[in-house]
Amino acid sequence: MSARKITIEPVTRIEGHGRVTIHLNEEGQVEETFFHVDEFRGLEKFCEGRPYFEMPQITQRICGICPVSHHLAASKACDAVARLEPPRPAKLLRELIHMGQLVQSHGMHFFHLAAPDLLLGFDADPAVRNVFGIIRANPELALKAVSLRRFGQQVIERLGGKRVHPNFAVAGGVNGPLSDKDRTEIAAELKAMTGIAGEAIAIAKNWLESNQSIAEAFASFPSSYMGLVDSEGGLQLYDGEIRVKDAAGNFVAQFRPEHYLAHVAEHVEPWSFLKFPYYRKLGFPEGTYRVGPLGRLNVIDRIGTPMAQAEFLQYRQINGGRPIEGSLYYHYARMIEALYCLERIDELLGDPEIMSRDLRSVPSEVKVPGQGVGVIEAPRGTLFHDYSTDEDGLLTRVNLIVATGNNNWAMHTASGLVARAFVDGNKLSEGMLNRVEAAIRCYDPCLSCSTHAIGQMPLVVTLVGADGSVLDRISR
Amino acid sequence: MEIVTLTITINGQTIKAPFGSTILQAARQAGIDIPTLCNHPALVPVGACRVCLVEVKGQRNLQPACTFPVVDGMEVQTETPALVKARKFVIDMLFSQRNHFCMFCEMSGKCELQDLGYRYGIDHWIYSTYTKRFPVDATSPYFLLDHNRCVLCSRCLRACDELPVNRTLGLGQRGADSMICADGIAPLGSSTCISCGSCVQVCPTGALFEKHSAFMGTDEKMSCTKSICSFCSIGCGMTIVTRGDQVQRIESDWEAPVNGGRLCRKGRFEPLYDGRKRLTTPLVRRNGKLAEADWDEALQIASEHIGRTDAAALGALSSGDATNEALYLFQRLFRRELGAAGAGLLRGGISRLTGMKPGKLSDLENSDLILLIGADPTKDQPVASFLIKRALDKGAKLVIVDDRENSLSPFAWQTVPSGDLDKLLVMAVQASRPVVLHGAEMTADAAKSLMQLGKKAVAIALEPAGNGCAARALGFQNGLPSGTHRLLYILLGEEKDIGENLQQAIAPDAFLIVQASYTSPLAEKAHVLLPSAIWSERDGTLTNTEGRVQRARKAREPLGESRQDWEILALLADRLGRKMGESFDDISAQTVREVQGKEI
Amino acid sequence: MAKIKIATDWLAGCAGCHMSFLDIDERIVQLLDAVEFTSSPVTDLKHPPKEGVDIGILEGAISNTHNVEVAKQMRERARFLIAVGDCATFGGVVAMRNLCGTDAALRRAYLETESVCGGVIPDSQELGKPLEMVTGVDSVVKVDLFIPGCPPRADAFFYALSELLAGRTPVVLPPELFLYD
Repeated sequence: MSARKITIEPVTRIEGHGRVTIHLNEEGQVEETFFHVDEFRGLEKFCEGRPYFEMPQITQRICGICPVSHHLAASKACDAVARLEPPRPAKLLRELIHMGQLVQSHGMHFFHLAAPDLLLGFDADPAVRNVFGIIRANPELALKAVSLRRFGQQVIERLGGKRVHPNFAVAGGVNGPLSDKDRTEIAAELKAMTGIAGEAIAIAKNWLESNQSIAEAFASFPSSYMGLVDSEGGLQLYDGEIRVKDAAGNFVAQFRPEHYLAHVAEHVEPWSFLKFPYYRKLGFPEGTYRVGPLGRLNVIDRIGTPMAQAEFLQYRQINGGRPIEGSLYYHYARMIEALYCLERIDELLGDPEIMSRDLRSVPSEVKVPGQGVGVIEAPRGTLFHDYSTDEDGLLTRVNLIVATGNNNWAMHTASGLVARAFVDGNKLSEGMLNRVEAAIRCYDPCLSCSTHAIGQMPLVVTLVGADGSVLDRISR
Repeated sequence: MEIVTLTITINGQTIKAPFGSTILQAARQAGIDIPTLCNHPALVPVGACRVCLVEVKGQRNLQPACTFPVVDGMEVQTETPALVKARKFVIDMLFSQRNHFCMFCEMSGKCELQDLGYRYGIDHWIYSTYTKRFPVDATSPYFLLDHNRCVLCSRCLRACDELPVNRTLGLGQRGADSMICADGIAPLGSSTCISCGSCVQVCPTGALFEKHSAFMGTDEKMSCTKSICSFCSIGCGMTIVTRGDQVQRIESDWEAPVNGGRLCRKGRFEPLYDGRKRLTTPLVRRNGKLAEADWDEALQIASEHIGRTDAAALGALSSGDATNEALYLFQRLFRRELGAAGAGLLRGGISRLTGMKPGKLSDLENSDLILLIGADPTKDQPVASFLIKRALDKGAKLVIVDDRENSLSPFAWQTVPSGDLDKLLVMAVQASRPVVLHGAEMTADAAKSLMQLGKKAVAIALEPAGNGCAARALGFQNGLPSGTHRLLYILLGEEKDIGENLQQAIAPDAFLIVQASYTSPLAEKAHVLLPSAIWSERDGTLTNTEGRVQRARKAREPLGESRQDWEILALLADRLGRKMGESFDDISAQTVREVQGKEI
Repeated sequence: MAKIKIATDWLAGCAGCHMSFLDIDERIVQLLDAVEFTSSPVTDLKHPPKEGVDIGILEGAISNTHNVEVAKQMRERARFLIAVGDCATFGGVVAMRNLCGTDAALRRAYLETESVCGGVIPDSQELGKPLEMVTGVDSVVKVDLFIPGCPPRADAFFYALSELLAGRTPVVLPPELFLYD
């Protein structure tokens, strides 16, 4: 029984409230930490009995920040359930809306959430260490941040009618075409947006270079990595095969999404409602892996667009071509991806088929018994949707592994490492605890925006007696 | 009969209303809005939901406007604070039963319950959320019945009863557990449901919705085109609902004169699930194989072969489902201009009964005896069977003459083989408004016997082909005209293939030009294959089995390189140096003159 | 004039309402002239200040014991409480759990899913206890304004706040902003 416990609550409300508890020993040193995720909704059960084709609408309500990821992963699972191959134009449009979402999500995380730490400092006054501090310090940059997010949200709105929880993808394709006006208007903004992404990359890169020792040590640890790749091993965010690499960067496996169960398993700890996925053959926790921007850039061989590829080549040199382990490098990787997404939007808009009206495959057999897996790279990592239906298309079984979940063990580990490195129970400072949060923040857990976006974490320090009773409690 | 007009006041406004109308009808006529939910203009009102409650002076309680009849001097209030309170209570209660999750409901944005929630500002639950899970019946191939979203308004079961007169749907269980059910207990997919879709179209919420158009977008994103169904000869009015050039849904047209809101599986659902492969480019045979060509080349080859074939050796066959314009151009080009022996129909038309007045389908409603002979409309012209069953409800008797099993037999007073027709006629002669419905299976002897019914009977022919009536008027013969042909032109259109007899009649060495929408065994044998547009892609007129000429409208552009039948024929005629008309409108006008000028 | 103080928080939901609020885009600058965000995704503290705020905004349903605590604290410290989104007003998608029961949902998620190996139902005292019944916020605290929608449109947020800033108390949203989806 530890003598004292520090509770940081809420840390990042990943689907609700999450908290970190730091258990200290008699000497005030960190003995153990836990990253608790405190939200449970139960979609895997309550979706049973619903028609499979409702899932793109139901499951996007899992997350209001990356609803499009769930919307698309669900649609892909629905394609498989109904045994439909969407026409190519539909796939292009799905990828387009996905790129819009990645731009808004990555952009918002970088500027609204991560930048305060990078630009103002981990130990800055918590009252100003937030996006408004950024606005005061650099209003021009802040407005660019707002416009990058708006741009991404508008791509979603143009195609899906709404910015949050759009209605666009359906089993077999998408429900509407891209208008000429929308194509022109999106294209007109691309150059400015690419410039903003480039500025973000510069900010991340400069910070990491001038704080190299921190960057290399901070929440840096070996792990496996996972992400989708295309047939040439290049970055793929909409569709591809799942590649796994080990801590040394060796190829471990590459498999089709529908075979995920042979490769991925989930562990449960009684202290968190978020499960811990791991690579099945390596067991838990040895097989835990990281996903998201850092995970993806650690598994791919190349990026298919020129500017992002040039940046990727530089990025990869940071650790001499071996996997990059420091959690803070997520921020850099994230903006390289944002750049890729903007370049990819340009490519997609230029594709002659993007304006096609051939947008949906309709089942000619009316009855649809089936099973289907849909996997996509959400902003935060690989997202799995797996459905089975009866012969009438009603769901009999739903399994979801959400992007943030894949990084659960990594966030737990990262916060633990930082707590051990920085937290001294004998002379606590706010900055110490902010670093613990920052470790988790690197992973941009879903909904972190709503919490940390800005500011000071509430702090509760509880002095616990040997019998577990609370002896003292200080909070602010 | 003189219509008695009553004077009433609604919200202080004095209005006139015909005797027998309800408060709701009177209000709507005067442009006064009263919210409703269970009421549907095409169905008999039952006053089930209590949303349309109004204050009637002198009445102790609030009264449902949809069922309460007007009386002279009546004073009505429709939107007082007390009524708003009562309505909010009713709507709250409706929401508190079952689980109305709008955010992922296909019907969100076009749901009448949702509209009421919006209108009365229901922004949270007064009553605790209902937690009982109801089943979803997805067994119908075409639509879903989600009991969780049902408000028990009974529109669906009234539609099932009143429109197709099929009576599959009923109410099961009791109280809050009440559920719409098929045949008492059966899943829809294995029930007596005939998938006419009437229930789906009248459902005010997301309890019944189509699978094909689910999540394809709200009504603002859709375009609606009024057209005419050509999958049988009844000529039902329908609305083709499209988005982004794709047909999402087919709805029946409440205003259509023939069907008045009825539609059947053949018209509403089956066209959406046609899995056949479309022909999208012209094909010509090169080195024994069909190869892609452009229109120019295909028409050139076709016209050269036609041009060098003797009139006597020209064979021409058409589907009877093609539009009036296509049939007109077809017979004019081949018979009149090129002098072919005749133009034949793939599925034969039927001859009319002589000595009897030609009837209209609307005559069924007031008849006291329906004599069905040589036809099985349940299978071939379903909406006609709905109209027959509706007439039976009103007291008509059905007698059937058929040597085979007839699907309407369970509803018939008598079913007899054709040899026993005379026995029936003895009775039929006594009927005051007999209607004879006859199909392709009617024998010549039977036709002769029927003449005994004389002038008081009306006859309605049930043409086997969708536009058979026009084909007959335009002089098409049944089957391939006799003689040897060295070139055969077949307008196959959307038909699956030609019959076995016709197949054998095709000369093995004949040059075969086929105008068709889908790949088929016949199309594969063609030397020139011209891709034609389908039902949703064509403009033109259609003549239904009563002789009513109606306008079919294009709801989307023809797929790929395919073209409308009339256009292909006009282009071909052009190549052959025969000018058919200046424009579509010109050709259409000629056609209508031609079709309507003939007795049909 | 002192700025109006606002606190926002969220319960069992998806963050979509907060995202939609951010979708007022550049208008946020205009709003910031008149309001001060205290605890919220767009400002400092995580708990509403003890001295209270003028407007409290809650997103998400009441799904576990922690949600109840957060909602009650917000109610205590906010003079005017707004429930935003279908989850906070009606229970939303989260309330679908009521149809299968919390126990069945927990068993499925942590014991039965195909990818789980050696599962256990999380029950640490650090975690909120999932409730049997998911409800809207008004089942545990009094709510002054409901803004339904999944999520409410950015304009709905802007409208409600503009009204309050102008000294008017909105009772229900105008029809074009009153939506359930």
